[in-house]
Amino acid sequence: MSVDPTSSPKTRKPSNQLRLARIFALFFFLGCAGLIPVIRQANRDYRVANIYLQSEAGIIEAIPINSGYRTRPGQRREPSTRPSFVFRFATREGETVTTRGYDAYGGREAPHAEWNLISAGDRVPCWYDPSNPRNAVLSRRFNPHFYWLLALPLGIMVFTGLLLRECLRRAAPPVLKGIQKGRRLAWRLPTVASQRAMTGCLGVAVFLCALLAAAFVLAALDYQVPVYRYRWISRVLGFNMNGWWIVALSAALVGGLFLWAFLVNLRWIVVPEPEVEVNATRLLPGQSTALYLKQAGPLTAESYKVSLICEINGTPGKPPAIQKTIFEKTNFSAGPDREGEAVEFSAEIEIPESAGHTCHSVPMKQTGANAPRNLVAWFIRVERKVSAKTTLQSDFEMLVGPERA
Amino acid sequence: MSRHSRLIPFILVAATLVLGIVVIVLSVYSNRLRLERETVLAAAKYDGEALIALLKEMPATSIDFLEMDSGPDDPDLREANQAWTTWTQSFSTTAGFSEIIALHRTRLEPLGWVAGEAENPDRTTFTKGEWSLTLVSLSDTNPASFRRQIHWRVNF
Repeated sequence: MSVDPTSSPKTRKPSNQLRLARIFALFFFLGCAGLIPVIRQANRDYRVANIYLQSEAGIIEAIPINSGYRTRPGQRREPSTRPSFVFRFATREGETVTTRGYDAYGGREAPHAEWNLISAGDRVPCWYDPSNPRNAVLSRRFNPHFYWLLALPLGIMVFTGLLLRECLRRAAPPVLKGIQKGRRLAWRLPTVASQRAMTGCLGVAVFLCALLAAAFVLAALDYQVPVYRYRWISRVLGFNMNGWWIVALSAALVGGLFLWAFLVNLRWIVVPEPEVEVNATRLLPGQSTALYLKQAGPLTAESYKVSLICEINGTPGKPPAIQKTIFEKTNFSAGPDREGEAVEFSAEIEIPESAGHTCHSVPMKQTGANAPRNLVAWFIRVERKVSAKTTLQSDFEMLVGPERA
Repeated sequence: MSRHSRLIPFILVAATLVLGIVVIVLSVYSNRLRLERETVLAAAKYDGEALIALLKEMPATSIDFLEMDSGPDDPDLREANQAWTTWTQSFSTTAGFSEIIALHRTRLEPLGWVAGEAENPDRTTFTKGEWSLTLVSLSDTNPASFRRQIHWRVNF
């Protein structure tokens, strides 16, 4: 009898995790709210650049906005001055508008040399929003430094979003993702780790490292330009690029390492992944189920091994807590002459009586003596030793329930 | 620990947050009003000086300084969205007060100013939008003297 992998045993939802999830959700939405001023500024920048209409303004008065802070000792005042002008202009419809401002950023970080020559009585160009002419500027300057502010709400969103995801994951019982109906038995197990996935990840890592190295090389080259005004990357990013050669070199070295690993693994992606099917995906300790494995060709391996694995707090290189060999063959060959010829076999697997149940994440609060304290994962592991140094490994996850059979 | 006493920390935190938000919103609002007041006052002073320059040529000599005042200096909640400015100056003239009024009328009416109803022979007011110009006769003796007050007030 097959067990529906989407059904979960009746468990009480740990309310403390959901309560924490609510708090994290609140902070996540606060982070979202932090995006509002940045989006508004982006909209204003777009309108200033593309929609605002040009006119000529008469400066009525310069009223700079001063702000500062007192520093100890000596209560020294360090003021900063932002330009702000009261000016009057006529719209294309003939309406005379008096307003105040300087640029789309309230004069923040406006270059002093740009505005200190403007004084009352001057005639200067201005740009106004046709939908609301009181929104007018004397400078269409774009300030990319402002968008560094995005880091704050995005950081909050990413951090609280990950915590929220973890809370929700802990609140829900473990399920198998990507499981399909089997052809021979009830369920075909999804691959959680395979040669192709690893090679793909290495490829992405190579691409990212190349991108980073190129960006850092450009940035470092940019700093070599002797005339400051041509250091456009430094100007756009808002910080000094001196010494970034080292970062570029490091990124290139890491990229080279990834590239080597990618190329070493690339030749093995043509080896077909095995198909593993079982009759039950949520087994109880002491329970057994039928296993069917199909290995399509062409594949020639020094050895071919299928095991039932239980990893407790599994880390790479650490031997699994339980390893029961189901099938092992040396000088394995599948379809050496004709592509598509497959090797199939069936077996009965049994979960040990003393097995710990699957636990993808340890609950934040231990609610009882039987509460899980370790991360436990059960796999059908297929190991194909294709050369003296290379063993291709594919893991197919199964679930083991908390109650005894 | 009773249910009520467990709620106290939450209430304190919530009250602090609400208070903080109210303080921030109020300060942003009052700062916006201050900037708006500065803007309209600057424009009014510019227009007022232009008006005074327009009325400069007349058969009269000033007998005191041009006094200018504006406000509110320290606005409370009722005056938060108000601004006003006033120019006052007294003149002596060998011409009559009626001639001075006629001269102002000829210069102001083409600009859209409207002469108000004559309150009494010694006082005349011209108005235009938020602006008013009041001429008050101080003495009929020769040379006569009068006071001119230009006033602007707005609720923004």
